Amino acid sequence: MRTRLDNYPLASLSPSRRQFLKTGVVGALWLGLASAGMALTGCSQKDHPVCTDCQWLSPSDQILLFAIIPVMLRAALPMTGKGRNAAIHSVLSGFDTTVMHFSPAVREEIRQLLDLLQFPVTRIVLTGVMSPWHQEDASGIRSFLTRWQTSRFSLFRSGYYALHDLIAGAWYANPDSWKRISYPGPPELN
Amino acid sequence: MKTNHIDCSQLTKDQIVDGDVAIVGTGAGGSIAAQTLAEAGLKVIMIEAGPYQTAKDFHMQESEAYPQLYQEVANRKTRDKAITILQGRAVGGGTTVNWTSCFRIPSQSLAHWRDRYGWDLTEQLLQPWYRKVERQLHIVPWRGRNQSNAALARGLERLNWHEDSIHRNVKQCRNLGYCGTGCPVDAKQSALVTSIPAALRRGAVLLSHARARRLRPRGDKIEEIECLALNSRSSDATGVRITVRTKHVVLAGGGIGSPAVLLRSKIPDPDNLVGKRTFLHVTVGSIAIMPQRVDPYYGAPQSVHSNEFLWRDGITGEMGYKIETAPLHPALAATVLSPFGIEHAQAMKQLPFAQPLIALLRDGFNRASPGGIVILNRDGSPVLDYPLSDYIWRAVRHAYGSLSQIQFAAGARRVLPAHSEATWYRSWGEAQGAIDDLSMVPHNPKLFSAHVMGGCAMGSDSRSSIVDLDGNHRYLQNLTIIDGAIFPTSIGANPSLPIYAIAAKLSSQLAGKLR
Repeated sequence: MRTRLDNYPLASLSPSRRQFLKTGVVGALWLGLASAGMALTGCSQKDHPVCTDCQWLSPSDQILLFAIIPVMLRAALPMTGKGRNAAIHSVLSGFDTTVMHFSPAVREEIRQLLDLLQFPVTRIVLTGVMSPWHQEDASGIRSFLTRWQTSRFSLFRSGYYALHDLIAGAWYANPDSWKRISYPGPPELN
Repeated sequence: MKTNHIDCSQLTKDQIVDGDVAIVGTGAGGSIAAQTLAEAGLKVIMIEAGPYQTAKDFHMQESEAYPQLYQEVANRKTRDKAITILQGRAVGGGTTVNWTSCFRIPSQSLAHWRDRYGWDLTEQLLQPWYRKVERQLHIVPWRGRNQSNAALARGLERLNWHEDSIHRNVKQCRNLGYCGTGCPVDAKQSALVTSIPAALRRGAVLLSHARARRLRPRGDKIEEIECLALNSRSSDATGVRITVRTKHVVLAGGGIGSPAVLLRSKIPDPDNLVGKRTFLHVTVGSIAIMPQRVDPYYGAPQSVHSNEFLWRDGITGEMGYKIETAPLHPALAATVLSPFGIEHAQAMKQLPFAQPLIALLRDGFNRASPGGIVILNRDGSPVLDYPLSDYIWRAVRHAYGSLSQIQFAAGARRVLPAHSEATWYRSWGEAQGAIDDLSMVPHNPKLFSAHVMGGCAMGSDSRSSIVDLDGNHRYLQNLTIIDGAIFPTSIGANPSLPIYAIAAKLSSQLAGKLR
């Protein structure tokens, strides 16, 4: 098993990431909790599908998003089997492409968001998701999304919309999503 | 045509480029300046951070156009992430991806700029410049109406509210509806097919994937511009530098880009004005479900507008707004709808029946509307800090009401204001009551902007303007700003024609001076 430090990046937080954790609500409290959090063990990430064409999303980012994407999109994805898996992968890939086109400063903000969601202490306290993402059930993830969307803190609302726009944007830019919504696609040019 | 185009993403060695005039930015302002100055016999160097793509590269796909042609994948945000800014970033700038709606500057705005900022422009003085660009860009009234615009017209007629058609810069338009992803048939008479090719024919050099990092002045003159080559995604610097040395510099990077160059260059700014008063036409949306298919992604995106509430409380009173439709393609629609899960999936299923309306809020005319401030991240990239005040929220709420009223008058079955707490309302009465109760805090109303203006105001008073009435910088002898950044408030109408016309005037004056 890899060390905890490898699994969870808080120990290697850059100054800007610490700054993010200090912002607004999050406060110095989280940094205190974070050190306690180092006592928690990480999750095994072995038997999860990996997005082969992703350049920016790490394997643990992919596990996180693999859990969130189906809850975010729900019935918009094929319900079963290969099609569903392929659809989720296409969203991962579209998410990755978008982040790769962001400026470094915006990319860093998305990095901070994904780290915050993955580090166990911040995950538990800020999202209310008690198990590692790949073990969490849909209702727990739904509660997290609702909690962030309706939060009185701007930081969480903006976090919700970042996930929402990146995931929903990636899926509906994909022609595979269009049949369900009866969008015929661009007209033929001749 | 591409012979004098250098794609800087492909450079492996630092370069020095010489010329008479460097123009930073190739949108509505920069392209007209490039053409005018090149036709005056000057050697022009155009500097553009985005890619040089043309009709053959445009496939009417959001998945391609947003990453390639827009700032931050059409997802540029204000600092608190409460407003999404759709801003072009490609050769041709915003004109490559705009929806082709052309309006002259409202007379009220022009009068306000004369009264408050000492502008010397009158409608009469602007007349020849309007005519010139209207001819070149083929700006003509558009009579067709897609279902979405027909619904807007129907609603306005039933309410007896102001309604008018829209002029568009198109030639042999095929009414596809994909102006926002780059016109695939070159019908849109954007900078990309008009002024930029004209400049290139006269020997101008185009540097694409090159970001003007900073101006290097010596004394009161800029000696050179330090540019960074960007990768093919236009996202990161490759490490290659391009040094551009010219006698004169025109800044045309738009309402966030131009102030950012000045801030990074630490150009003298004694009254601390650079990047202040940046305006957005903060945009509010409402989606109706109509009984028949609307297909809001097809047909000329905007052909009907209403000024019913544009001056609702005079020029400087409560914030007014212009009403238009917007094209709604799937990915954009998916981000406009706030919910997730089943609610989101069900709403998306209605896309062919969806009829969107938008209200563009006229910011900057009242003391309570100072706009936003461009600030720099540690790496020098700009971000717009745009605080939302009660003055704006009142207008947002007012606009939700008007938009849904039009939609119900047009026969909508259900209407959803683009707000996280809103639900589908079934009548104007129900909507009216519910809109009164929507919370006005950042992120809950989905706010957009497609028009960035201001940040380098032009005016007669040095204490409130960065450039004089000729667009010339007050402290640097060889710097002129010619783009949407010079407006002292928002315009109150889509900005492309105002920028084109003023750019034609200022650059022709500049050509006279430099020749």
